[in-house]
Amino acid sequence: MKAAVGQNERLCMSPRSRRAGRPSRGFTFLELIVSLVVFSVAVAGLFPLLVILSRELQPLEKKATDGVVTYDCRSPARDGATTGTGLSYVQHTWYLTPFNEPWARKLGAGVQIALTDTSFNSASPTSTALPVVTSDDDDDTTDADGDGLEDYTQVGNIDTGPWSLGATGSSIAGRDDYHYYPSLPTAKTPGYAYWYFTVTKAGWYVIEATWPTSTGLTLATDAQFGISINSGTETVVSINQQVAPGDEQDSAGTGWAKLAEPVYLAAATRVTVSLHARPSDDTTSYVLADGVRLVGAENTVRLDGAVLRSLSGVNNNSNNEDITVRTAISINLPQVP
Amino acid sequence: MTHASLAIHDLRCRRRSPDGVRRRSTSRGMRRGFTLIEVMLASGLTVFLAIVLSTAWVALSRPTAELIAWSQLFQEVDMAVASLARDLGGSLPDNGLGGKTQGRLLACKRVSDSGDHLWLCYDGGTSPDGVAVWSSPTDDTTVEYYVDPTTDSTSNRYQRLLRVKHVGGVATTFTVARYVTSMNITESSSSTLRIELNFQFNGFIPKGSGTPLSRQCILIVKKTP
Repeated sequence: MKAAVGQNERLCMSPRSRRAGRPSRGFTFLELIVSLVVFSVAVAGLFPLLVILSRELQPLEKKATDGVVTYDCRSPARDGATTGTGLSYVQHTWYLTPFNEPWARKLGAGVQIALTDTSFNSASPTSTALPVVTSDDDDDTTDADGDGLEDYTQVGNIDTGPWSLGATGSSIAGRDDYHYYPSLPTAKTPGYAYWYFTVTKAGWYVIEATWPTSTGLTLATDAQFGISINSGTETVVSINQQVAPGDEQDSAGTGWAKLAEPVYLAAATRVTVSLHARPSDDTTSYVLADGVRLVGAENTVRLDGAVLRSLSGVNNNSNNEDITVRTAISINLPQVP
Repeated sequence: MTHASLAIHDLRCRRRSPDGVRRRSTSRGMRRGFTLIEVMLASGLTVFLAIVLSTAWVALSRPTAELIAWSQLFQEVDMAVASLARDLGGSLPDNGLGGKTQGRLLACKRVSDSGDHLWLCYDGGTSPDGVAVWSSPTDDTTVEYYVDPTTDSTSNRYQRLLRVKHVGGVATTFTVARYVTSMNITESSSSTLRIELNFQFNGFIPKGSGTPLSRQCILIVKKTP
């Protein structure tokens, strides 16, 4: 009977219990808690992965939006709108501009992708344009020269004094009217025409003058223009008014003669340009007073690929293709005092 | 072993007999079962563990899926832009021989045909003439971009941006990108074209959004680069 019972107990045991020769037991509560803690630690190990994935998402969402992505956690909306709350992004427009250099294109250079229309290689250097300040020979407070600025407030007016109006019509500098000294005195006459300027923007300026040449008058060959800055010492420049002014030409086709090299003028500088009524001891010719202007001087250097074509003396065996020569250019720019 | 001894021992064992009949065990020395408190505690811990696991799993799987979805979407955007950038670079990219005027990109234009098509014309032949020949060109090479309207239009999934290269009457089609829902081309100025590419990934909808992932890519190109 005992043998039978022992045999049946062995049959009821688990295989492990049978191997150990003792009955199996369940897990204790402590073992269960320890296993849970270990498992929790294992699960917590996934947290860095979660953080990494979340961090990877953000730059992906920023991609193609120039990094301008805002997120407002108050709204669950995550996408689909370019503005407003939730995750929104700024939709940009991308400009695809190919290279101007033909060989760069041929060799497979892709386009330049930019947020602005750079027009690669074709844009000339630009600078903030200085204003062109013009003073005519009118003695009024209106915008006689048509530059959009009242003469009185911007450029002052010619002090015509005893000068006579030579013609009527448009008072724009270089146009119909002008002033001249009416008499032919035998001695120097202390009469001057004045143009006053107040510089509104600091920069380098060229001082230019214009006058009509088809008046029928005999004009002076040594008209004396005086330039004074902030009521300082006057610099006198001699100009042959028998020669039409042609150093520069404005948009209206009026020619202008340069009175002086570019000069740096700070803002609020007062510039006075005067014209002597009588040139030296000449008693037979007239001087004409019409217009004077200050023109912002810009050092514009344009490098447009600097392609030299068909160089002589060069053995070109590449199917008569052009040869591109790049040169170095040194430019001395005046320093701001 | 007699039948009586076996029956006594079966009563001591807390297991089912081979015939499936549960028998009670009341003898000393037998293994005891879990108490009610132990069972309830274990059940509570199991529920807690299930909650922790499910939360962790959701928190882990959502960003993973979203990350994959975004990656695929932007991958397609990248491929579309890269292909256009290469073709609009000014020269036929797969024709590296000849002078600089051979294979030069001459012009771009929009053609409306079941959606907007972008056409590019490259100067061809041994003597490039600088004139864009669009219809049945013999020397010039044209490249056409358009969104395939026939691809799974019912579900609007996996729509493709196609690039077709026409050389001497032979067309070679290449899939540039998937998930492209539309391509709209307008003239942004007299000299430029505005290309609007719309991408949408329908395989994943972010939580709380209700709308699939989508992105729009707007490109401005010159008609005569």
